[in-house]
Amino acid sequence: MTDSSHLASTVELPARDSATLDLSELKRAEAELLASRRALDLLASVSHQLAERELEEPEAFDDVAREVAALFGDYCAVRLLSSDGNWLELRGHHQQDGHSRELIQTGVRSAEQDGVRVLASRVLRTSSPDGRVSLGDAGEAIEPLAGTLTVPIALHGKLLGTLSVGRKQSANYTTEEERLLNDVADRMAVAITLAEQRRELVAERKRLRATIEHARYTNAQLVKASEVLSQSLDYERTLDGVLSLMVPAYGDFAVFDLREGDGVRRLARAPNHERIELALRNLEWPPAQCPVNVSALESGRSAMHTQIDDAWLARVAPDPALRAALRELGFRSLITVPLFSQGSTLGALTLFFAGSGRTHNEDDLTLAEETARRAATAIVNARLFKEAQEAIGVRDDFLSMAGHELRTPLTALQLQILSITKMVGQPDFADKVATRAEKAGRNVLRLSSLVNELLDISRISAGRLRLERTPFDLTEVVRSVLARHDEDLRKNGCSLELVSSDTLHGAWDRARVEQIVTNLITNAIKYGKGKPIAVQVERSENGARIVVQDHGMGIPPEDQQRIFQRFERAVSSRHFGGLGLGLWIARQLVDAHGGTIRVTSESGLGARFEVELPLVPPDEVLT
Amino acid sequence: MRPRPTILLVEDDHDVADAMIDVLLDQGYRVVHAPNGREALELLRDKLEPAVILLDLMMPEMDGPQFRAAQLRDPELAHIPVVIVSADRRVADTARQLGVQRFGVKPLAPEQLLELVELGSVA
Repeated sequence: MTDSSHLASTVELPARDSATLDLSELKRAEAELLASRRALDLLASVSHQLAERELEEPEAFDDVAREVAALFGDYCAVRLLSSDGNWLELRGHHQQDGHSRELIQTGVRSAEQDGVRVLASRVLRTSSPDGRVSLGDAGEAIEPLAGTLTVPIALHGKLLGTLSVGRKQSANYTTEEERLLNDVADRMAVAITLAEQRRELVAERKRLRATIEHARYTNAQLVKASEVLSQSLDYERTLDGVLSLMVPAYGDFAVFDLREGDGVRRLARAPNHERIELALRNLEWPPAQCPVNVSALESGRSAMHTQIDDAWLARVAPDPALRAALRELGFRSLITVPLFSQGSTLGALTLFFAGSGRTHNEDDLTLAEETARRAATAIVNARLFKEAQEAIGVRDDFLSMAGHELRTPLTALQLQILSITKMVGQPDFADKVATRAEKAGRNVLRLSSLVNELLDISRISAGRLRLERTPFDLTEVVRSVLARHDEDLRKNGCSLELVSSDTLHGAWDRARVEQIVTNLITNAIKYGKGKPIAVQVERSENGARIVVQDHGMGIPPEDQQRIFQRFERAVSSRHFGGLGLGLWIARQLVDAHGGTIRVTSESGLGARFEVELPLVPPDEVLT
Repeated sequence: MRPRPTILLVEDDHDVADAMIDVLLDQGYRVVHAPNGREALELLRDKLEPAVILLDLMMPEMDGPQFRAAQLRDPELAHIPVVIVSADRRVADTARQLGVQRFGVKPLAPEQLLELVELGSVA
């Protein structure tokens, strides 16, 4: 700012040592004093007025201009540099005989043009390397001014504008007047800079407040999402929760496509619009080759479409029926977001704004994406929970069934052993005890084979199944297993036919091969009661083949894979004893040998189980 | 030993039936065995008149509850007392649902079996 020391000089009184006080000197001193007071008043008033006003207002400087004009003659104009720095804009003016603003603007510009340009270029040259000033076209002068003075409004060497005064008479302004005008301009510069800073502060505060509001909203939405999604581990309720988070927050209605198993499940929500909900449920997305990403299900990418019109519909749906269906929905804005789980697309949410008249923005998309991310986690958790529940259910059923199976031979055993003690002293004591002990022995075997099966489950499940391979003749082993089932076959009315080569040597785990054959033959007896059973042992292309064919109830095609799984059997355990693990264990044992087991069957026509075993371990073949 | 009454044993497991029959025969009972509910009904309709029916619950073809329902529907048979013997832990509930007062849980001792039969047959 300009040093204001020159003001002091204007009020300096003449020396008192003069003997006579010249009256005219006194008057001059009084006039100077008055001028100084008026100058000080003007400076105070300028500062005060500019501090009070909103300087962005178009006529913010008019009052100041009037006061300046009153002191400096007939005319005053305040021009400020435009925001692009190219123009000096008239922001305040005063003309004592009151011409219209427009006329003055063009007229004075013309009159002052050269002065302003010179002034501006001087300021720019000395202090503002970046700024440029252009004054545009000159207008027509309305009334020439005898004298004009223009000073820069500048702070710290930065040009902010110009302050011009003019008068019709008394041509040139004095140095004193120029100093005062410079002081006024300096006050303006300070006021303008302060106002500018205040405006920036207000804008900054507004931006901050908006940012905080946005963060608060985002946070609230995500907290709500977490709350809703953590409310239940139930799968269906989780899906419902996801939809309730999306509608109406990010759409008037929603389509939720979810991959389940091999298919896609469609959920739709359109509150109070049953017809639309039905239409959404049946809506088919444009074919995969459609260039517009309407559903993130296939693309795995989110997208936003906010200008939905006939042209857009035509691009999305060349098929008139689909186009009509989409137009019918009346939506104007759409976003689609994917739900990811472990790198694959679990599903997609597509959200429409229609009746509410709202349009999606980037924030909606970001929040919907984030909500979808959380939803995906919740859905995966709910699915895992559901699977765990089902697995627990299967295990509970199995344990209950296993308990029943164990108690059955135990019942016979307990009756037999305890009743023996009552026989002491009876006439044919020895014979009776022998018979009963033999029966009890059978039940002990039955019990121990059940226990072995149970132990096999944990052994196989824990990967602790170890084969002890020894060379032996498969034909002989199959014969001996069948011989052990002679009584069982007879009791159940099954005839047996064995077709086999003389010998068939290989290296297998003998006990485990016996177990495989036992499981197949007991199944054949159990499910093919009263019907013939055929067993074949033969050399096959890849090793040895064992075939067990019964003529019982057979296994429907839909159950043929399931029966080899743990805790699964094709028929209810109520009707057929055993743990239902025979085929699962057989398959695990065959697998361990590097072989295969398969079944061919038709309902009602019996089942044919074929086991293929390589003659030597597969890894030895490789080496 | 005075002649003991006839018992109808409805039990699908061969070993369990065999052991029960031995214990009952030791005590002089006459035992008729049916491996499922359907065959038991046939025997009853063939004028078998047992003092008590020993009924298993889980059986093929016709299980215990199905047999009991059929028995109660038949006025000629409804009065014959039934004792349930089952390895099912929920046997008490099932017995109550089927209107059967006496039941035993497998495995059971010979004395328990005999007591059930005696009390059941006088009921």
